[in-house]
Amino acid sequence: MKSELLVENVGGLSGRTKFVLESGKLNVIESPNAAGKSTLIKSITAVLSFPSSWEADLPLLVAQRLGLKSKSEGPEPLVNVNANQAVINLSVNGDLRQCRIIKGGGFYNKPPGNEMFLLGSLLTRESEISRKLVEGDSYFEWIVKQMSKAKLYEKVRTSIEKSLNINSVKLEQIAIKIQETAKLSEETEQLRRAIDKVKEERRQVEQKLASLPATDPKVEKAYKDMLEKMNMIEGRRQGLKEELQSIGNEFNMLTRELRILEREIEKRQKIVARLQEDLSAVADAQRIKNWQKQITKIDTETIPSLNSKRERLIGVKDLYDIALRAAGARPEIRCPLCETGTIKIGGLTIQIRKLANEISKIEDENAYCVRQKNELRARIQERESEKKRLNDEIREVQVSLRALKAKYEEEKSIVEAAQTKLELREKEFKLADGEHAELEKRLDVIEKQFKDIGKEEKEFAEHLGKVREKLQSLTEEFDTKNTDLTEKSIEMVDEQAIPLSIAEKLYQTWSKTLESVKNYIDGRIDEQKRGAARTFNMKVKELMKRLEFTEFQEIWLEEGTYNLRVIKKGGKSLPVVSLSASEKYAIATLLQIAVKEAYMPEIPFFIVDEVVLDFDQARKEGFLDYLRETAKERDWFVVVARVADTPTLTVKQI
Amino acid sequence: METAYTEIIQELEKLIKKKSLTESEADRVLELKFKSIAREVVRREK
Repeated sequence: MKSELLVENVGGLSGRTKFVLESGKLNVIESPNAAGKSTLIKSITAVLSFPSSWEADLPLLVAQRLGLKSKSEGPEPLVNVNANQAVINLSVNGDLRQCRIIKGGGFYNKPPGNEMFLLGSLLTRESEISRKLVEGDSYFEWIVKQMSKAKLYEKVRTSIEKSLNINSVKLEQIAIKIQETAKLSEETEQLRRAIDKVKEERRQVEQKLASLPATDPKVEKAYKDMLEKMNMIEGRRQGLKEELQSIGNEFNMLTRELRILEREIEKRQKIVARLQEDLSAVADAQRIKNWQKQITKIDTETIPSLNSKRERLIGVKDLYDIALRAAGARPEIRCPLCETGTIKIGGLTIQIRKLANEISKIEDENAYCVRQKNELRARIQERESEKKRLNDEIREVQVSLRALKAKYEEEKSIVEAAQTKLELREKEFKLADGEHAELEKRLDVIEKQFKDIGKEEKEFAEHLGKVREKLQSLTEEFDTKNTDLTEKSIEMVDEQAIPLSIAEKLYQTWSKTLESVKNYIDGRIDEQKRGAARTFNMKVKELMKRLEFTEFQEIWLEEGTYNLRVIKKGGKSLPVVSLSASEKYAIATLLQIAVKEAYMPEIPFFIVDEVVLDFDQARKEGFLDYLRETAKERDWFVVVARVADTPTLTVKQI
Repeated sequence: METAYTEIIQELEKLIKKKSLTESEADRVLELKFKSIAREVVRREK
């Protein structure tokens, strides 16, 4: 595979510069000091790691420490001082990645990179592993956390803890409300008793007044009739008041439910729109067509042409092999191809070796084409299944949307009916209220007529007036407290009114559920970290053998504490802080490769900057050999930067 | 509670499987589950 890297106004490199990288080989960036090696390394790192948005997390801190990202909104360090933006294009196998970094802050990276690249695929003195080891820090929990799903489970844990806190505040608020309502309830009960007492007093006074012999029987009859009517209206008015309150509450609840449905419909419509957008991006017909064209070209042109070339070369090589075998001890023989000239045996052997190399190269190319074809097929397949999944999801959301709309219409008609009923009862109540007021006035007039009759009647009438006033004031106080009590006795949960006791039980149950989920998540975090540590330790052990780390007996991350343990040859355990600088860098290299091989083998880039300079010659050579072999085995782009006396910045393949 | 517990875990595991879970996605799962429990309580109250 070939990759083209185009950098424009990045760091110290002004203008556009293009470099070619090859997979399966070591791509060595060479230049004198401060001539752009690190800029190139940072460019590749940026385009492969910048995510669509950073979370305040370890990769962001590393990006800031490496000078890839500013620590706050401000000039981005990767942009050339004389330019407004830096552009990095990296194309691999025809697929282009583009990263555009703006001077004043912000960047666009399309497609977004993988921020874990910063922790797993980059080895410099400033890499997280090197830095920690140099500082003598042996706590490496972040490796198993970041590289496993533990990181995701921890996000869930944070979210659960947040919910638990909110819940406990809610429960405290409900407890206060329960105390307040208990007090209000007692007060309203006292008022109710006081009202009943005053009502009884009023009844007795009214009865006594009515039982006095009337001078005018007409007035007496009218008074008695009115009292009876007044009692009847009062009863009706009270009934209507209660009914009105209950219908009002129901109407409010129904309206809230309707609003929830409206919002849910709106939300699902947005989901459908987003899914349709995703679908059109996934079902990019032109792109899929291009991939299919590439497959056809590989099948009908590239592979047949390679095969025919290979067969031709094998034919020639076979002829040479036969001729060589037949030559015996002769120094030269007749040319097996033209059969006229002669050919020396030494030359023939060289030719055979050259042909064998060419055949092996063609076979490599052929294998690469097959890999490329399979990869393209997998990509098409992936797109197709994603398309199917999105279509299914759209259908599912649309079905639920239709059901919601039907429910909305149904609820709407119920709300409309409730509204009509509410308006009717309001009218009836107003009418009864007016009638009550009118009767009270008339009673007052008749009672005044009693005053003219005699002293006793006058006293009764005055007493009755006072009792009525007291009743009025008590009723008003009762109504105010009762309204307050009704409002405080409910808790709004998701815009729905729930009695306090039920809300308290709901939040208590929710807290218990969250606690159980938290326990489960804690178990998963531990499981993930232990599993990741075991994978990592196995990789370290394998690499120690391959890289000939003979001066160490064992290097591993201790499960549970996640401290790095180092045992030197001979069994002496050493704390990280007491290792020499070159030992620290050697172990950092070992751990970094283990992280890369164990957790990020699918990203075909591994970048090494400066660290190798700290190794002794044998270790440096061993390490570079390992990188070369790994690049070939895995078809990775391995990029190594080193200082050289070259006139300019160059990238060469070895 | 048992059903809610199982459903929350299934939903979270599904998101974690996608390897792209954000804290706000987890918040959303919990919020939706709480709302559905609250709705169920209201329905039973009625």
